[in-house]
This record gives sequence, C-alpha cells and structure tokens, in this order.
Amino acid sequence: MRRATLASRLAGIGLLAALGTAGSLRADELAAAPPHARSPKVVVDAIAHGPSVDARLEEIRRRIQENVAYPPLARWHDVAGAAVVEFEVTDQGRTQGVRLAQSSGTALLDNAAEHAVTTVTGLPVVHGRLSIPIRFELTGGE
Amino acid sequence: MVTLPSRSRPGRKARLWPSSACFSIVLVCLLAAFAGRADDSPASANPPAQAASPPDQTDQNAAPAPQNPPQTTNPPQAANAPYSVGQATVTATRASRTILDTPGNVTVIDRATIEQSGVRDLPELLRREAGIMVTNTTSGPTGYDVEARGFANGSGGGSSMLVLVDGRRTNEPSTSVTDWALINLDDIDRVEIVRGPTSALYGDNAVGGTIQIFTRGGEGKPQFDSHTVYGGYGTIGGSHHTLEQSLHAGGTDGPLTASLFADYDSSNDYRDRAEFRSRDIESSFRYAFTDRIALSFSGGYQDYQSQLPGTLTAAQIQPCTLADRFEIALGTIPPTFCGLGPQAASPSLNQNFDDATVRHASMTLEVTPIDNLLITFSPYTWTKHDTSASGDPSFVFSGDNDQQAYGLNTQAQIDAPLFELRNRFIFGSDLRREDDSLNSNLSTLGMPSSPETSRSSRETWALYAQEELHLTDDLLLSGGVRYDEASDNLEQTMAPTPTVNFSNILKAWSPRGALTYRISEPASVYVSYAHSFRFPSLLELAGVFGQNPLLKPQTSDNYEVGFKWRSQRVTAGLALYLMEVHNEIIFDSSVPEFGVIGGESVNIERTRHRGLEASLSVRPTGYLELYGSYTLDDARIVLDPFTDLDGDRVPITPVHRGTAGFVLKLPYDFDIGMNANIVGSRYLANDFANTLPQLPKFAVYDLVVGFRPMAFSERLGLQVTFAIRNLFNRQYSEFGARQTFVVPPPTPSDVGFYPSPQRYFVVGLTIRARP
Repeated sequence: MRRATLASRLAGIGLLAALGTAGSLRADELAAAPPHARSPKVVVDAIAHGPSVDARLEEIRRRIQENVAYPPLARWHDVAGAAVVEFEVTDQGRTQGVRLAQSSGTALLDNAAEHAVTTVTGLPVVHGRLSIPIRFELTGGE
Repeated sequence: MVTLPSRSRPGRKARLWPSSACFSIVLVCLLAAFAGRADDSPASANPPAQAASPPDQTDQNAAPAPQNPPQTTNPPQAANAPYSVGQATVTATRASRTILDTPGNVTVIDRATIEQSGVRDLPELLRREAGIMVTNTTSGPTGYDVEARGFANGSGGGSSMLVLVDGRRTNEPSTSVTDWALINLDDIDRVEIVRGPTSALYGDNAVGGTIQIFTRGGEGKPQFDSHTVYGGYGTIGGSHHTLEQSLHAGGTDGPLTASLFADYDSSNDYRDRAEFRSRDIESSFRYAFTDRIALSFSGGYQDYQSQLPGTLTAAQIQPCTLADRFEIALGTIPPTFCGLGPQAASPSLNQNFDDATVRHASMTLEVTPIDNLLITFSPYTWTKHDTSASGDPSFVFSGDNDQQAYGLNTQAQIDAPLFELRNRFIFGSDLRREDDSLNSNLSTLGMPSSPETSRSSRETWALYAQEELHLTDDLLLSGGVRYDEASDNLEQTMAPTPTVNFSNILKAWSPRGALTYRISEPASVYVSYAHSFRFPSLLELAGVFGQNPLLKPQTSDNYEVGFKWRSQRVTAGLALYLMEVHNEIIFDSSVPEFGVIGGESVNIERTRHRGLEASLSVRPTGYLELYGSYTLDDARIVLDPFTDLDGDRVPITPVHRGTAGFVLKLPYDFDIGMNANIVGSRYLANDFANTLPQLPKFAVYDLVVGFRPMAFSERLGLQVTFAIRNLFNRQYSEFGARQTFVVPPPTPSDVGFYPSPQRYFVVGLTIRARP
C-alpha cells in the first residue's frame, strides 16, 4: 500500500497552498488509492471438508481476541472505543493486507487493534476479505 | 507560515479578517494532510459491513451467516464489503477513580455543555456551579476573579483557587492569581471542578478549590471547527460589541495526534474604555512510540491589549438630582459628579490599561514499564510580559512586569494490591522556579518621577505521596501528604533609599485523609479532612504597593462530609464543610500609607469558613433537564488582635446564592435553555469592618436558543446559538469596593462600583467539517 507520510504531505500541501492551488485540489487525490480497489473480492473457498465457515470464522475471531492486549497507556487515560480492521488470511494461517478500516478515534487503540490482527497466527483458512470490529472496554467506572 | 496581524494599541481598529484568513490557510493545510490519511481508509466512504455475504457461498458446509449483533458504531453494509468475523472485545479495569468514589464535591463540565451554554468565557459557566464565586471588574475577559468557599473577599483575586491547564499551573508567579483572559473557552474539551482543598496533591493555592482544564487536543478523526461569536450591548452594530473568531483543527494519523488552535477577539465590552483585543495560537502534538511510551508537546503564544474602565460612584451611575444639577451649575461640584450612567468609564482616570504577551511550552513523557505502573515527566516553561499604566492628567503610574516560571513535574502511579486489597499508590515531585521583575514609575505633575524596581524569585521543591485503598468493594480509604519548601529572594529599590534585600524560607506540610462509602450503585457518602496552604505571593511580599515582607503562609484545616447521587436521570451533590483558616492573607486598606488610607497585605490570625454546597440535576425525559444549585458560605473573622475585626464577615462573598435553569430539546434540532443566577447581599471589598452599606442582592436571567443539526451530514455540521443575557435588563454591580487612597474615616461616597452588563445578546455560529 502506498502511503505518504504526514510530513511529506504537509510539505507537499504547503507548497501547493503557497502556489494558490490548494483550493482546487482534493485531499484524496494526494492519498494512495483506496486499498479495497485492489483487494480480492469474495472468492470461492476451496476447502471442501473440515469445519464449517461459521466455525472457522469464529475461530479467527477467537484467536484475534486472544491476541489483543489493552494498551497500558490507554487504560491509564481511560480511553475506550472500537476500531475495525480488515485483513485476509493466507494459506499459512497468517494475515495479510491488514489495514485499519475504521478508527477508534485514538491512536493507541488503533495501533493495538492493527497489531493484534497483524501478529495473529494459526488461523483457519478462509478466502476473501474479512473485517473484525475490536472493542476496548473499561470496567469499574461510570 | 503564520502571519499575525500587527500589534494594535487599544482604540486602534484591529485587522480581523486578514489574520483569520492566514490562520485558515494553515489550518486547511493541516486538515488536508489528515484528510489524506482518512481517505486512505474506505471507512468513511465504503465502510465494512457487519453482515455481508459469507465468503464460502459454495462451500458444502456453508451455513447461514453468523448472527452478529448490530453494531451501532459501524455503518450499513456496502456492496463488495469485507465480511465481518464478529466482534472481539477486550476489557480492562478503569484506572481513574469515579466521581462517586472521589472524596470531595466534584463536577465535570464537558464539551457538549460548553457548546450548549452559548457563553463567551469559562468563568461565565463557572458562575452556575455550586460553591464557585465569580466576579468581574471590567465587563471583559481580564476582569474575572474566581474563588470558592468564602475566599472571594476582594483582595485575594483568585489566589486561593488553583487553576491547572493540561496539568500546568496558571496561578502566576507575581500575584498567585490566574489571568482568565488567557484561557480560551473554544479550546477547552473538559473542566473538572473540585471544591475544597487539594494541597496534599497540588500544593500552593489549592485552598478553596481546584479547577482542572483539559484542552481539546486533536485525538480522533480529522476535524475542523470554525466558531464565530458576535455579541452586542444594546443594538446590532453599536459601539459596544464583541467579536470573536476561533479555528480549531486536529486529528490522529497513525501514532501522531496533532492540533492547532487560533483565536482572535476584538471587543468593546459593556463599559466605556473596556476594549479588549486578543490573539492566541496554540498547538499540540502527541506521538505514541509504542503502547507504553508516548511523548506530548504543546506550546502557544498569546497577546492581548485590555483597557480597564475603573470604578464609578453611586451618584455617577444614577441620574443627577435637581440639587446636583443646581450645584453643577454653581460650579461647587464637577459635571462628572453624577448622571454618567453605568456604562461610563471612571472619569477620574484618563488612561488605564494592561497589555500582556505570553509564551508557553511544555512536554510530557509517559512511560508504562509494566502494565500497572505509569511514570510521567513534565518539564514546562512560561513567560509573561505586562505593560500597564493608570493615571489622570495630574499623575501617571506605569509598570513593566516580566514573569517567568519553569519547572519539572514527575509522578509515578502504581496499581498494586496491598494485603490482597485493591490499592493505588501515587508519589511524585514538583520542582519550580519563578521570577518576577517589576519596574514601576510614578510621575506626578510638577514633581520628579519616582521609579521603583523589585526583583523577586522563588524556588519551590515538593514531594508528595497518595494512597487509595479499597477496604471493601464499597469502602475506600484514601490519604496523602505533601511537603513544600520555597526559597524566596527579594530585592527592592526605591530611589533615593538604598536597595533592600531579604530572603525567606517558607515551608508547608499538607496531609489529608478521607473515607468514601458506596451506599448503593448510584450513591455514595464521604467524610474527609485536609490541610491546605497558600504562600504569600511575590507581589504581596515585595510589590510596589501594599507589600509586607513579614507575611506568613495562609493555612487551613478543612473538615467535610458529603453525599452524591449519580443515576441516569438524577445527579445530585451535597457537601457541608468547616474550614478553620490561620493567617488568612487579606489586603487591609485601613492601614495608613503615604499619609492617607493606603493599605497593606496582612495576616488575619484566625478566620472560620463554613457552609453548604448543594446541586441537583433531573432529567425526567430525554428531552428535558432541570437543574439548580444553592450555596451557603459563612466566612467570618474569629480572632485578630490587631485590627479589632473579630466576628466581622468577610466581604464580597454572599451568605446565600444559587442558580436554577432548564434545557429543553425541541424537534428539528432546536433546543432552548434558561438560567437564573441569584446572588445575595455582601459587604464591599475592603470593608472588613462591615460598616458600609452592603452591595444589594440581584437576580439575572439568561435565555439560550440553539439550533444544532450537527449530524445532518457525515462530513459537515452546523451549530447556531442565540443567547440573551440579563434578559430583564437588571442594573446591578457584581463587585464594589471601598476606595483606597482616601482620607479617613471612609464614607459611603468613597465607595466605587463596577457596574455589570445590562441586557445584551450573543450569537454564535459553529461550522464543523470532517473531511
């Protein structure tokens, strides 16, 4: 995925603004093409035997959940929220094409959600693009 | 590149729009950068579906789609959207203490309440809070004093109220008082009010209460806000009006969160000679290196030019009587003796202003080496330059004041069981250096000018420890202690006398203890004891006027019981307090100086403050909120062998005051609210002898109508508020004082009033964009 850095975007946009062209330039023209345009659409699962799709999806959900850790700094700051992460499962049971589809609004939670999906292993194979909402909840408060 | 408009003097037309345009360009650039990140993600345009077609449609074992519960946080299904595997949830124990578990009378004001209120400055909102006493002497942002629990006595000016902005102390080195003109309501996310002492944690000034302000930052999706406020006293386009424009942009991009805030205020407030021009630009950055280490930086620049209208006598506020007109015609009294009206500036001064420039920067490093340990290091620096002058054609008193404060706050918090009981331990240290340099000059017609300089510095170090132990699930024992030590060095030169130097060591122990019991899920009671202190300010020790180097620290013992109820429909709080104050620092204007009543700061041996704070908010339906508060403050001098003021009531703080109001949500995103602020009679500032007539009680009613279709578009929101303040056009003076520099004995004609604004309107427009 091509992703411009913040600094380079700021520099680029600043230059364009200085040239008086910022008003006519849409921000998304500078951004990378949306990755879902390149993502494989839902494809036929080649697995004819074994656990059902539901069972495999549930196993994926369970393994990701076990791999999520509440970011310590977020807990100290009472930060809660939900992030949605998209990914695909490789034949080796790992994830690829991981990206944050919906931000929780907090960098710490977004990073923890992405990290959990990126590093999870031993997933049952399901072809197609998947997404998982990861909810960070705090207990014992108002 | 930010181009600020040229610094204009009061009275000169300031250039609002060019500066706003420059700010806009910078903010749009910042926003566009974040928009790039947002458009990277299809979340906004093509959100993930919760129940898209299963991927294995031809699988022999294919089963119906799992029954994922509908997620309100996720938008509806889109074509070719990824398939959701279901929700993962991770939970942790909340680190902060809830309001019900806090052993004190605490209120939180959130951003939504701020926006609904339609007020211009934070102190206007604080007026509605039980226990908080707000006065204003300029009708503009520079005139606010905010105190609590009987410390609004007309001489402390806010020095018994600690105010923190993002953890940074705003009580200034020279006066120990917060300059409210430097706190911008449009940049505030949340305000936490603690009534009563918190010196065991924060040290100096946290006597009557603590107000913690958290700025908006940029956490979350990229967002841009433009807020424009126009207010008018009298008619639209009249000479007395307020105009303020603020812009806020912020957002999160991966590990980086950034925000930029800019504000321009150009106002001619209610009184004549009450112009206020302010420019403010603030920025903050936060970078999360990992989920255990984060670094934050914030910095800002602000300047303002503020005129001070001064006082009026009762005769000047009221129309002239026939006898007055006759005497004016005869020339026995001046034409300015009467009939000037409440908006007039004091005719005895032809100039009276205070211009200030402030720069500040701070950094915070947060580290969690293990999950249950949080360590923070926060170095900061702050500088302020003030130029002020006051005078009439016969004399001018001018001053140049440079203040500087820098320091390092270090704190560690650890959650670790003690005897298998849930427990938190906090310890930390504060190091702070403050410098105050004042060059003043008194020029009198026909006399040689008399310059005076003072150089003061204070180095403070403090250590503290706090403990919170859950004896049971419902019973919380908390306590703490803090030790502060300040080394003062003061140097004063008043020609032709030689320079005077002196040093001072001030020490203070501040213990506290409390027990909080959860009666049931929505209710709790607490009982607490806390010792608190306020060191004399550098200006009180070695100022240009009223200084007293022998001042001792003001200390107090606070005993308190309270009850709290917080359910979905009802929020209630009740606190009863008794505060025994030793060496309360007041400005005693009865002390002769320069041959007339001049005054000096003195310690009152013992005063007693006791009272009650009650607040109630009821939401019978989702559309209606009714609220009210009542405060009783009985603050009296108990023992003062030198001034014979025993038993007298402390001025300015009324015995009774209260608020009442409602907010009603109407169809089509409209809402309407009304607020009544009722303040009882109170003695004039400087009238510690309680001999002069009291300031009369008053009731002021405000009406606010809002139109807030903030959700009519995914990307664009709008909010309009229209407020009428002082709806029934009440003429009153929130603050009044017996004048200093008068020949004794004082008479009612030596009383000066600061008339408060009569009916005026304020229109606010907020445009919010989420690219």
